[in-house]
Amino acid sequence: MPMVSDTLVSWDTLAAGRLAPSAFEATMLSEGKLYVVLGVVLLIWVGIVLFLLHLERRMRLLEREIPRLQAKITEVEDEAYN
Amino acid sequence: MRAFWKKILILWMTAVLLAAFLVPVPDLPILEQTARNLYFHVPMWFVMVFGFALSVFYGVRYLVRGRIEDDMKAEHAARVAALFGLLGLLTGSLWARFTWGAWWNWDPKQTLALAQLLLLGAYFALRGTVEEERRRARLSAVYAALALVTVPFLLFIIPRQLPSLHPGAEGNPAFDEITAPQMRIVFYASVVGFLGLFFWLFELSYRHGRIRRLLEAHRYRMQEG
Repeated sequence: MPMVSDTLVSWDTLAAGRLAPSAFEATMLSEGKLYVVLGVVLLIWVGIVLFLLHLERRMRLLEREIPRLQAKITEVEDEAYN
Repeated sequence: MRAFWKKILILWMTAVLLAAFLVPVPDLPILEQTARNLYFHVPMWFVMVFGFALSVFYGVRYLVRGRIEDDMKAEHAARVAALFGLLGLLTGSLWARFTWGAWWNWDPKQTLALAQLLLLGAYFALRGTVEEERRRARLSAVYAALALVTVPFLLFIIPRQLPSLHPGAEGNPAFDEITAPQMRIVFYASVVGFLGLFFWLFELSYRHGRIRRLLEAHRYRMQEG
């Protein structure tokens, strides 16, 4: 089996038969595969941001109900006193 | 999304994450690439202290002005501060496992940071025991102000008087051994980013609390009426 370099053993077992890693693969495997961690962190960050934006939207929909609810509370109080 | 600053924050934090991984760090024994944890672990504690102080600010403002909104802000600031403190403790523990050799070392810095989190935890325990809203607001504002006084001692002063594995015993905690000018820039940018994230979470938490309180008032009055 062709071996590109010692650091590429695990890559090589997955892509058996290929002689050279692509530019993307070479980048991800350099620096002790540090960029794989960066990729993981960025994926998590995107997930968190999307969820925050989703929460924002739901919160705004709820907050739109506040004036109506407050009016209802005063209405009930007025009825109780009159 | 109405607030412009949140868009800036998303871009800012993304840039910080990229820089945290891509900007080279000095090659030091033991630390190696984990030096990059400086950008993530240390801001957790900066934000925790800031959030705690912000909570006390709102607590004191409640005592002065007597608006219940200030008490709610104090509670939600403390909640998000506690989240960051917990993350600081956990990330420190993981970092310690692979540099100091154990998950937990009873190092002065670790131990006193834990004590600090427990003091913050007592704030929520206290809130849980007082039923009446105004009384709870008053008591917890006073407690938080007293607890804040311990922060500089437990997190900064005492750990630096004792022999410690944690950097900082000899002066500046963050930049002692791993000083590199480019790391300072990324570090401070990260602190700003995490502070922004704190404000976003704090705002969402507070808005949720406000709606919940209103719904509870609604339910209560419906039962009465």
